Formats: sequence, C-alpha cells, structure tokens
Amino acid sequence: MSISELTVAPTVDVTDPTRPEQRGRPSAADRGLRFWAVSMFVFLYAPIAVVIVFAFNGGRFVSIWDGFSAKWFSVAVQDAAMRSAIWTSLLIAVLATAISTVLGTMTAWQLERTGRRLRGATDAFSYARIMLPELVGALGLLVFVLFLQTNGFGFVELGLATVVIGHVTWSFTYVLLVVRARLAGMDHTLREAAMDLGASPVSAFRRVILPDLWPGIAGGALLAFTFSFDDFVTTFFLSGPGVTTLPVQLFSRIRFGLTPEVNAMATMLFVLTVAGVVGATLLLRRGRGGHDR
Amino acid sequence: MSAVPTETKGRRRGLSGNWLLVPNWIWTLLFFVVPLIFMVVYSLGTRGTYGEVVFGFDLGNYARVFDGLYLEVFLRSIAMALGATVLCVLVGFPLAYYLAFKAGPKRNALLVGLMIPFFTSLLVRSYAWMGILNDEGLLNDVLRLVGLPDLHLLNRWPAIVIGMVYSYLPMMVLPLFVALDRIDPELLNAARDLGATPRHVLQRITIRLAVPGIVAGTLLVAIPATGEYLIPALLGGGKELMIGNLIGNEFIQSQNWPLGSALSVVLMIVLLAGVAAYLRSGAAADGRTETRA
Repeated sequence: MSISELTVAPTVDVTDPTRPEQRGRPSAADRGLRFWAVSMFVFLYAPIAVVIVFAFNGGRFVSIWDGFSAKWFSVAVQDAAMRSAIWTSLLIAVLATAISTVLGTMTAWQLERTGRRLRGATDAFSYARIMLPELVGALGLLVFVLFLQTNGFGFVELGLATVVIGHVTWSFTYVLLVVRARLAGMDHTLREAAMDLGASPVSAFRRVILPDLWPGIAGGALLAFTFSFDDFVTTFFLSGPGVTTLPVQLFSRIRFGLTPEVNAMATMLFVLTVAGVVGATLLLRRGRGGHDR
Repeated sequence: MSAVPTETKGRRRGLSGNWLLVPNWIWTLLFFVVPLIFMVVYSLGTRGTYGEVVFGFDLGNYARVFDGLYLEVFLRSIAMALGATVLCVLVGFPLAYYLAFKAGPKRNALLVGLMIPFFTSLLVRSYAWMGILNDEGLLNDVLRLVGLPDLHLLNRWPAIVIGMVYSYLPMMVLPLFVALDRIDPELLNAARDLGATPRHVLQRITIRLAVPGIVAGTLLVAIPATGEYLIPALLGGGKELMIGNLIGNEFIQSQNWPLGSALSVVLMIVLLAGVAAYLRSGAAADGRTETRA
C-alpha cells in the first residue's frame, strides 16, 4: 500500500495536491495564479492584437484610430515589391523545408538504431547549431562564402542557394526533434514482425512505419516551413542584393517608419504562422490509426 | 525514449545502416563546422588597404575587442540578456506552474496558445512593441488617460529588455512546464500529509524538482538573447546597440570581416564559458542541498 492510500480520502483531487482546500474551492493562491496566467496570455497576445487591429485602421497613422478599413490589405497585396518578396519567401521556404525534412527524417530514423557514441556525437552537432545565436551561424556561412568567392570558386555568390542552405542548417533540427519524438512513441517490433513474415525492409517501412510516422514528418515539415518563412537574421546576411524575402522587406520598410500597410503585411504573416503551427499540432495529435488493422 | 529492442540490433538491419547519417554529417560539417573554422581563421587576419582580407596570425582584432566601445557593448549585452532571462524565470514560473498543476483539461490548448506567439515572426512581434512603446504609442496613451507621465522607453534599453522577455517567454515556460509536469503529485501529497506548509512544499520540493527545467529554460533564453540582432535593431532604433548589431555592422557596413569574425569568436567563447560555469555551479548547488536535506 502506498502512503496515499493510507492518508488520502477518496474525495481528494490527487492531481492537484497543492490546494490547501481539499473540498475544491479555489484558494487565494489559486485565484492569484489564474490571474497571473490570464495576464501572461494577455501580455503575449496583446501586442499582436494591436498590430492586427491597426491593420484595419482607416487612417494613415499606426496609433491613431480613424475608422475601420481593409484598404491597407489591398494596398499591401498590390505592392509589387511586397508581392515579389512573398514569392521569394515561399520559394525559399518550400526548398528549405523539402531538404530539411528529408535530412531530418533520415537522421531521426537512423539515430534510433545507432550506437550510443555515434548518436551522442551526432546529437551534439545537430543541436549545437540552435544553441548558438542564429547570428553566429549565419555569419560563419557568410565568411565561408566570401572565402570561396575570393579563392577560386568565383561562381559562388550570395543568393537563393545560400539562404536555403542557411535555413536548412537550422530548421533541420526542428524536423529531427519532432520526428524523433514521434518515433520514440512507436512500436518498432511491428516492423521486425513484418520482416519476419517476409516483407522487404523497404516494404516494411512503407506499410508499417510510414502510416504512423507521417504526421510527425508533416508536423516537422510545417514547423520548418514556418521557421523559414519567418526567418530574418540568416536571410538578411546571406541573401545578397537580388533576393528579398518578406521579413527582410518588412524590416527595411519599418526602418522608414510605421505604416498601416506594414501592419497589414505583418497580419498576413501572423495568420500564416498560426495556420502552420495549428496545422502541425493537429497533425501531431493524430491518433495511431494503423494499429487496428 | 524507447530504443529498438536489443535482441534485434544484432540481426538484420534492413533499411538501417549508418550510411543514412552520412548526409547529416556532411551537411553539418560543411555548413556548420567549416564556416566556424573559417571564422576563426578570418579573425586572425587583418583588413587590407582595399578592403580585402590579409591572412596571418594577428591577434590585433582580439585586442580591439577589449577596447572601450566593444567591451562596453559586450558587457551591456550580457547584462540585458541576463536581465531578460531572470525576468523570464520570475514571470514564467507562475505561468508554468499554473499550466502544470491547475489548468486541467484546458492545458493542451493553452500550450499551443503559448507556442503560437513564439513561432510568429520575431519581426512582427518586435514591430508590435514599437507601436506600443513609442512616444505616441499605446502605452503612453494609456498612461495619459490615467494621468501618469509619459514613459520614453523606445530606443533605450528597457524597450529591448521588454522585447526580449516578450519574445523568449515561451522558451522559458515550456521547459519549466515539462519539469513541473513530471513531478509526481503523490510526492507533494505525501509532504503535505507529513505536515509541510504549502510554502515549504513549494520551496523545498517543487522548485528544487523544477531545477532542470529552470536550467534548460535559462540556456534557451540567455544564449540567443545575448546574440540578438533583430530586437535591438528595431527596439533600440540604432541608438542602443547590442553586440549582435555591432558584429553585423562590422560585416556589412565597415566590411571589416576579420574584426567581425573576432567579435563573433569572442561571443561564442563567452557563451560557452558562461554555459559551462552555469552548469557546473548548478550541479554543485544541487550536491550541497542534497546533503543538507
């Protein structure tokens, strides 16, 4: 018998042991905590709400309300520079996501079966990248590119490829984390069983592992996409003159001053992010449908 | 994490084979390790008369790092990052506590709600605070309404610290939540049954069991915060710089790659040293308190 069975009455809510009130009435501490939690969520979302609200501001200024209007959204969408920036962002994000998803999934899959030492070393390197400030990694790549340019590889230049490479080096870690977590919760003996029953390794992977795994892969991919689309620092330093993504474009606009058009763009960026994160969460939440076959 | 059952490791490997890790290793080596090495090499060079890089073994750049301006910005950056980290712990702990113990069924939705701002573009979030903190912004509007004097926070360090707390709070709350969530409620129940006051339970058990989460959160916040570029660029307005901005300027404006590289290397060393010292002190503290309890 455990201590709890000896001393705790059946009516006690054992999932909330810190409540002094066993009957379930919230104490002052509980109310304080809840107030704090609510305040923190307000704190987190209020600035974003302000941006969104003022994106619908009819007037020209960002802090003075002048009637409701959606015109800034159409202004933003018709802005050629903005449109081209969106396209560039999308292109880069798709490329970076594709590469990092493949890389991350391969690595996650194999890492489960690797010996401890190799796994530790791989882990260390994979996670070291996100432990350093993003700036350092980006500048390192910049220096690398500069070296190649001035020492024989003159064709190398800052552009789409360098940005994509910079993004992959970061977002690959997200995919790795997510897919590994998903793999950890799976039953690998099923795959062995399939192979015992005659399936080839590829077939076993495709029919047994993949159905369960793909929400993890897709979730990681969505997170990688969101990271790439939103990224500023790596893109800023590695993009060179010809390549402008949406965050970089927004940055230069902001430097010139705050306008409702920028708010509109920021709102659209935010909506995209929310869609991505919620999508990833729902995907990762998907039940294990394959097991009742 | 569940590992592949050991009986199967020696048997057929099927799809597995460490060659799957090779792309990761190549990528990490080529686009992470090598660039960092180049950065060190460049830091030992000097800037030639026409802006080109003269390689050598010159520690002059490192000497300049300890020069007035750079050193001052370094120290201020570390102070701001640490300040933001401490604030994140203070602000985030009650929130994590609420999520872990009091949120009940709403907890998953709240967690997603917590992560959405984190995945939103840093640009959008910092921009939001620009609108709030500037002299004609929302904060001062509210203050004037209540009859309080204006606060001139923008383009000075308080704005940057606020921006950093805002941006990194989810990164602090998440590990704290995970650590708190792991605490077996029975432990706390038992303590209370044995006569501990709620404050006792909190101080001696809950917080101490949450220490790994505090450590993780601190690292996840302090390290990127020290090397921040975007937040001080937007909220510091070019007047208040952090070391990240300074380094970026050396690369882009001054075209002094060797100096910029040296500054980056010093930043990396400072971060590594800080992390090492922090982890060691954390372990030592735990050892002491273990024997006392």
